[in-house]
Amino acid sequence: MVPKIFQSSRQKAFKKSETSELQKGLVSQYAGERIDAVKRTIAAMTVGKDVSNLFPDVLKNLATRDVTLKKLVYLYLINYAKTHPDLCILAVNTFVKDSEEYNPTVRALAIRTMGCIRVTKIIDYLAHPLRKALKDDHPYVRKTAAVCVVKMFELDPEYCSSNGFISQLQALVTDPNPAVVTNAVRSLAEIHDCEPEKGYFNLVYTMTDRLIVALSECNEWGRITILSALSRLRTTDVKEAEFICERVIPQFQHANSGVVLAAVKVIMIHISLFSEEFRTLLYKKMAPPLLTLLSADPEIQYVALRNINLILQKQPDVFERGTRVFFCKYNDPLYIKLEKLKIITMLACEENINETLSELRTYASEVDLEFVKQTIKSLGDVALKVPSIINDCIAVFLEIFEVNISYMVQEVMVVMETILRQYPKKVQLLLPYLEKVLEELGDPRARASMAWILGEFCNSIGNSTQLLYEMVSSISQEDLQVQLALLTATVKLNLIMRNGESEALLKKIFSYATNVSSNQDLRDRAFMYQRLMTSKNLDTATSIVCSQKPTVEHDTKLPRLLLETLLSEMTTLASVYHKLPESFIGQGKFGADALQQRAVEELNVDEENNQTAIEKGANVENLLDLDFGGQGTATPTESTASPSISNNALDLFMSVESSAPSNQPPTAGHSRSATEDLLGL
Amino acid sequence: MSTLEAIYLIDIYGSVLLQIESRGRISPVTSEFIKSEISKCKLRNEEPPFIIYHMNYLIFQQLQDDVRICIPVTCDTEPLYIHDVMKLIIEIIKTYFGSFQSSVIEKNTSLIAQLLTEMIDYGYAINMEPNTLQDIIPTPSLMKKFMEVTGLQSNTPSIHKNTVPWRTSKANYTNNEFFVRIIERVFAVYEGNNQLAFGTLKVDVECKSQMSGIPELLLYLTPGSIMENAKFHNCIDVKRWKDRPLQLQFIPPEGKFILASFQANLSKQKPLPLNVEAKNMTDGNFEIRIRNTGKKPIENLEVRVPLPGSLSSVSTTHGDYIYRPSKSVNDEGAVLEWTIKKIEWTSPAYVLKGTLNTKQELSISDMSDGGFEKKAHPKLEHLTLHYKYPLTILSHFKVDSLKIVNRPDMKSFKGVKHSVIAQDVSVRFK
Repeated sequence: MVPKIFQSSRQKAFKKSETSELQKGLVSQYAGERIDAVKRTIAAMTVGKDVSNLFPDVLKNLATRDVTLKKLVYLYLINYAKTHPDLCILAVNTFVKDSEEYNPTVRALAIRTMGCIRVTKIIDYLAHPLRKALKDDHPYVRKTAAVCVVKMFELDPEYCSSNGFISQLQALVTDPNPAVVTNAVRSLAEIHDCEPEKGYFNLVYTMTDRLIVALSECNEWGRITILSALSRLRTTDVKEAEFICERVIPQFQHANSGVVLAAVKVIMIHISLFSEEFRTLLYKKMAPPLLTLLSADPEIQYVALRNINLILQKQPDVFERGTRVFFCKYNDPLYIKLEKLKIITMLACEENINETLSELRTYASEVDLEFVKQTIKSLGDVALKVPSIINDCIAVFLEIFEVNISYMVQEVMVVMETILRQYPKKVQLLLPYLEKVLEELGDPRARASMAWILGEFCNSIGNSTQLLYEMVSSISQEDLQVQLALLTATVKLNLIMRNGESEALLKKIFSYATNVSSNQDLRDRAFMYQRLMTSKNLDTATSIVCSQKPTVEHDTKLPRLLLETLLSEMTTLASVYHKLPESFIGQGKFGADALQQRAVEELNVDEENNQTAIEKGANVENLLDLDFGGQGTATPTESTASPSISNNALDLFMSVESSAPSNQPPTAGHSRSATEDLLGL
Repeated sequence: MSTLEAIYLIDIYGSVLLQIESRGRISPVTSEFIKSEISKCKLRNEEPPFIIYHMNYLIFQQLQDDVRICIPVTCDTEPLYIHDVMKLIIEIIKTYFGSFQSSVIEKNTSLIAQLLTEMIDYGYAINMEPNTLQDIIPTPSLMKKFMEVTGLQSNTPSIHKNTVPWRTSKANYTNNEFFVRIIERVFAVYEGNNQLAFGTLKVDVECKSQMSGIPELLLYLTPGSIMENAKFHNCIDVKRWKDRPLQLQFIPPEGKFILASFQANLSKQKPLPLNVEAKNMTDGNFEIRIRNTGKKPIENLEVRVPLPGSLSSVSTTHGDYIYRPSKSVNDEGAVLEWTIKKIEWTSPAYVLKGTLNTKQELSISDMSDGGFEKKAHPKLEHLTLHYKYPLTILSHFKVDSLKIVNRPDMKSFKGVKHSVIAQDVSVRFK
């Protein structure tokens, strides 16, 4: 045995001696030796070695009567047909002869191989056998020929359509054999996508009939193909759509998850046409098969969860069985847990709130840091969604304060800010803990939230001045976010309390912000406050700074237009990432216009890679290591302004960007509320 | 559904075992890119993601045994479709050669290459039904047999027209036999006081068919059998089942296959036979109490308790326990394993008691981060259970009889075997 370490170098060096040995074997007079030599040649080829110099010798074996050998030679030829068409065309006469062979396997192989030869010259030889093969009486040959039409189309679209190959292909859609039907459909779909304006595959109602019959007869790939063809059908006729959806429903019972999701897609595309009643029926049928995917591999689960998330945004009441199915198992991977949490939060309502809350409470005591943080955030979101639960929710938070583990306390603090804005009265419950908790807060987000709470509720909090004083005295070490929050908090304190202590504090912070700090934002804001608070208009200032705030709502929805697009892209990667496909994979990658875009992307990917290396660990979407978080993906679409992306889509895309990273919303919320304070909104 | 641009089988050292390109759009150096990506991940000591991003294509990859299977695509696609294709390729190679080890693949490259080109034409998944593939490309053992018996070159069997797509055309047995096995797998989470938090029961109807010709079977279920969220093998006539939910009509593929599977809410089934109570007590003590409340013995019970730190003492009334310390940082951590071969239904409760050490690194964490000092007594959170409970059923699903419609004289049905497996059951400590 050669040690594995040396293997890769061994593989590359394909020795001369070996070549001559194979050569000898290939022309041997014994059939056994020839088969063996061909096998070894193929073995070398499949590991990536270049054995094209053996071509003439291998070719000599094609004329054999032995089917096993013949198949092996064809295997060799198919592989080199794409890269060495000039060599392959030498054997074209044998191919044509073989396409008349009695054995259908050989006929099919000849057709398939000819299709793989990528020089236009081949068309002259291919045309006649292919035409015959499309009408062959053996389905295996017809099925292969159907795929071959695409190959010909790629070589010469003009020739292919004007010589009736496409119409022959269209005829195959009504073939009695389901495998032939699916291959014909697949080929037509691809040809159609190359030149959509010619309308080679405009699905019409009469055609769907045959497709639906074939649907229940063919294998899973066939089903997926036919289902995705059916989801291309755009009809406005309710009757037609109803007919199709009803026929598609049995596919939910298929063992293959891909088939199930493809069926879901067909229904989602037509669902907006139907009456309320039929729609609910469809959703009812659709929900259980989606949920069964949740007991499959984590990868499948993730895809299912992301798609469920989309459907829920469109139709929140699909899963009447409640949230229990989405509860996390402790051995679920983190990315699954976080997705489930999102869905539990989306589903939270009066009916299921008790079980949801007790479950979330269990999660809060788990070990995984990221999961606990998200759980606390979900608890806050649930409290905003279902007001009746607010007291229990705060009770859970107070428990966390009791245990006093810093990362949890910090997260609670951030959530508290939003909750208190909605339910200001609840601040009373918090009072006993504030002083103790302040020591635990290291995270700037939490400290900023603390500052906001102290300023906003300085009336209720007895020692707010003292606590703020503590924070202000170390202001030079704080993050900007905290500094800004502290400034606003002190202003509020001063406007509400109007006593000597608070005034001293205000002076202190003003002098820091205007004289010491190098940050323009802080400085400008301090000046603005200063002007606002001249002694005569203090009341006006109060009414501006301490005004009523609009209520906050829990909203995790995607923009409507993006959602609609994604729903029609169901089951694809776009629906998993919740991004438009253009944002992660270039369209028409082989066209010239894509070239420029690719170059820019290439640059960005490098950048992104560096970034990922740094941010690694925090990357939650581990499974789909795409890292959309950065500007990396946004820049290429923006800078090249590719015509394929409409302005509208770009806007959408940008807006997703800004709301995508999970830790941003609280921050954004904070600065927003601060600005609102300032502007008296 | 997008084109599978190529298929690479790569061993764990990154050398290519086999590569097949379908359209010649992807350059052969892609394998080099995959190799470098994977070695990058290895440096970071993490498993590479399911999808690797390249600027003009996405590479789906998955590790099975010691071989990595990679499929690049060039446009947005259904990830589950690729996932299924991978799974099936692995499965088919396993049925042909017995395993998916790199050594096996290295030996059989030419045959595997033939198989792959048969399965995937021009990047389309065409045919992945093991039975029909065997009609076109005989399994190695069969081929050998041919050679030996006839002494001639084996001729590839010709493919028949209009056969059932999932069934081989040349099945021939002297003894026609058909077995059914019903396996119920439990996925559940229990609270520490043996209350069910949530759970599902997944039932698979596994069949093994050894029958000549093309038999048409009709499986009768006893009244009251409900199949919730059922999923069927291609061969089942779903329309007929919708009308008559107690009958399943099908033409079986040969060999082992899963005829149907369904899932049910566990809370509506008969209760699990094992009663588990798991408690955290004061000062880091904990107790696990297990009792068989069923009518039959429980076999091969395995309790795994992930530990937050080390243990100072453990004792059990029955069975063996072993403490596995965590090996590396990325490991799941230390685990206590408690195994019991068999619990008779008459046995008294089995108990495991233990005490956790308070955290040793306390002083360090105390200085660096003030937050952790209150966690003086670590608590246990979960334990997982795995056991077999043979010869029983939890669901209300029962097979009554099997009829061979086109050959009523044949008596092939060999009866039904049941078993319950606690596949993924975890209990939360109280």
